[in-house]
Amino acid sequence: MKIGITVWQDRVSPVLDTAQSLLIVEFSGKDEVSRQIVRIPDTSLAQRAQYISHTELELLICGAISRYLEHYLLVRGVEVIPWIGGPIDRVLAAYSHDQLEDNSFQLPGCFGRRRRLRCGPRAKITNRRGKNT
Amino acid sequence: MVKKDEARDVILDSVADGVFTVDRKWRITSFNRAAEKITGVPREQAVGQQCCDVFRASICESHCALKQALETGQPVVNKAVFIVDPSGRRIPISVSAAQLKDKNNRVIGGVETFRDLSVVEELRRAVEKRHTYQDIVSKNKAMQEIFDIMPSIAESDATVLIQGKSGTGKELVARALHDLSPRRKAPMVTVNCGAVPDTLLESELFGYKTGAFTDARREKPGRFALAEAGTLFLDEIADVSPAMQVRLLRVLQDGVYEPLGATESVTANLRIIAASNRRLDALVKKGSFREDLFYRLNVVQIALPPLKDRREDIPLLVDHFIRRFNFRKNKSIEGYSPDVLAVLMHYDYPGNVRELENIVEHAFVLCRGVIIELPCLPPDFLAGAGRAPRKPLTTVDDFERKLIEETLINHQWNRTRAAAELGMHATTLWRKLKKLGISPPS
Repeated sequence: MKIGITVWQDRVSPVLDTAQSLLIVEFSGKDEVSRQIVRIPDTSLAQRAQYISHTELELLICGAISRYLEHYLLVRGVEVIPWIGGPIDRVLAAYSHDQLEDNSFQLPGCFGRRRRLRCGPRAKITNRRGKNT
Repeated sequence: MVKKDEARDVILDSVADGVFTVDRKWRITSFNRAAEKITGVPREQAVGQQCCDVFRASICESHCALKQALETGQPVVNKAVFIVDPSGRRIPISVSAAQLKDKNNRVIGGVETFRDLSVVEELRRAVEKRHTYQDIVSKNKAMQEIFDIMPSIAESDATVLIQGKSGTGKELVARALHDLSPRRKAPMVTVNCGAVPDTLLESELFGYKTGAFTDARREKPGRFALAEAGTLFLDEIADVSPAMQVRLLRVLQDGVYEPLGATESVTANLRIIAASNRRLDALVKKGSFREDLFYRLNVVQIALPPLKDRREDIPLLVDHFIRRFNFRKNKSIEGYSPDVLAVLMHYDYPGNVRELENIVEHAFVLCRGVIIELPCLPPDFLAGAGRAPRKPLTTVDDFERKLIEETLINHQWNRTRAAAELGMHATTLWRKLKKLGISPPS
């Protein structure tokens, strides 16, 4: 399983639209196998989505995302868990234990109700096992 | 103390601009009502959080205004950026930031104020929309007349000839015609006839069958096939050879063509738009372009004026390019100085709109502030516009060199007469020439 997290100063980048670095982490089951950081080119949203899709991620975890960029990623078949914040290692640990739904990882403004029903344009997105949330 | 805090909150909540403060660890310590409204984040969720997780601005990672204010001690004023609210909307805002100090003048954090520019942005778009037609920006009368007839031309399916100097936007017009036409769901394929060698143009346009020539191991569709049901844009049509002109004429006359090596004709279902930066009627008179092909292409003609004939568009275009480059390059240039506009307005632009775009892009690379100033413009352009930036004279040597050079030029490099005018002995002048490295032009 290859997942990506946009990273800035060891935290999840605040905004995917302007994020500059992407941490690509490979998992074998729940164990982390490798890490690699790539630079996201400073281009248009469509090209940004294209670049991310070319990294062949199975899942992208990121902070705030504009509806335009989310649409572009959706069209390119990239699964996204947006509106996540916090230190990268804690987020990765939470991801491997299926605890990303925890309020402490959700960006302010997305607490209270289930994050994905509240934040972002999509009412539903699938989790990494393909179940609807 | 509690009363003091309450009074502060009441004051901040009555301010129309968003205001928040942070401590030295970038944690939000206060968040007013307008900030809640603009960001979509309730105060109780914002306070105590990292400011970047709450504010989610385009500059958080690269050009944080608060960080800049805290590091330099200088306030940041009205930086144009966008934030992303919880519904995924990009909200344009202007941001100002400054240090926050206690009563002992120690820096205890920062304060950021921001204003929602959505309404301003909507007004700007409404004004721009009046002067924008399918990505073409102009309020020039001739261009507005072209905009008026473009829907009818697009609907007609007739062959169109677009004439205009390089950089006047011929491809933009072709794209607009395609996008407005009933063929818009099919592709528009562009061929720059001047860029493809004549020997390759035939296979490029019509394609070839397997075995048509050595190395033709696989069938390759040509641009005519790729543009099936859509639009084929033939740019720089004047550069096509006489032999190729005959082949194109056949497609336009009979609507059929043969891929290389094919035994049967293929019916072409597409619309052709051609463009040239040279006047085809003049080329017909000279005998270098076929008259019958010219008339086949010239069913509808659109003549684009050069930029020097639509100077009223220059400020509009510069604003348009500034917005585009701000977005692409993640900058926040707000405009240009009156000097810059004066120079831009008095130049003739042989490269037309494309040249103006390049000038603005050059300015974006060099511009360090929020306003484009004269030194940000390309030196070649300034020289051409008669406004080459002069290097400031900063030392006595600089002044002396300039004075001596000018005097020598006035006296056709006669050192005796120049020395007399400068009030010095010829030997002294010779010594100064040597010291300052001044020599007559070769």
